[in-house]
Amino acid sequence: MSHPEHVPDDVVAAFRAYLSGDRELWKTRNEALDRSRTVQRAYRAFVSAMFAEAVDRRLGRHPAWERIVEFVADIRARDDALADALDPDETERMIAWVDDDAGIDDIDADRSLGIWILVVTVIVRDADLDDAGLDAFLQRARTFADEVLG
Amino acid sequence: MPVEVSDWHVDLVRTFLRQDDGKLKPMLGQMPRTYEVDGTGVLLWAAFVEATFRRFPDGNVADIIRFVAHVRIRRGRNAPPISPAAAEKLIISALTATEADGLTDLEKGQHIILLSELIEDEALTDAQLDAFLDVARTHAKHIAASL
Repeated sequence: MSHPEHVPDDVVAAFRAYLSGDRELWKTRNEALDRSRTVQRAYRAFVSAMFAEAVDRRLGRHPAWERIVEFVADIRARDDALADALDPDETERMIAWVDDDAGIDDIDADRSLGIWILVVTVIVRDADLDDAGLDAFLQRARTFADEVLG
Repeated sequence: MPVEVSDWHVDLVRTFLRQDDGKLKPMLGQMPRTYEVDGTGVLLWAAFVEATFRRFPDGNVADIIRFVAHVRIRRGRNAPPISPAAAEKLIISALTATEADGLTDLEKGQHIILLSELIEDEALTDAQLDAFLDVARTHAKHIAASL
């Protein structure tokens, strides 16, 4: 089975729309994505890389456990939907996993993807990035994901 | 036989909440070895319900989430862990008088730790703790009567 060596442009473009808050454009671009396994693998690698990049920007490298607990509580306390969607234990472990390879294999793939996307969305929204800042964020995540895929 | 909440049960819970380990240890040795719900269990749950109502009078979920995080950080990473999702469910269950679904027996027992932490935050005087336990005992009698 062949794997793409890079994250496809249209995957990056879809998430650019999502993180810009343009949900209509996100919907259109996301629905148009190739559903092949190879692209899904790249999609997952890219979301994972955005998550790592966002966590690194917000909490720094190797954040203390207390800081992770506080951060997850802060974002879950913002609204009931986030509180329900983000299991605190799973989300904390995901954040710790960015730096320390702690096992997260018990967390279902769809759940982990959902957690990554929600946390990235919150961190990017809080950062209030301009267009250039968002592009730089996506590019760094893309480079990281390409390294993983390559 | 109906569950009764005696003066001894109240003294046991008071000793636990005051963290008077020297007195608590022999009292725990006198507890009956049973898995049946007894006066201690009913009083601890009643006290937990009363403490949650005092702390979260509006039932605000954001406050509950922040409190659980605060407790976990205060206890530290090396303390016996509290499951945050279970702790939040227990507090909501106490506030809404509903069953906390999907919890293990170990997770259900976390209300005892949460009670202790809620009382620690209150920094009650002896007289205030006695008044608190009086209210909890009254709640416990109602709970015991419904068992």
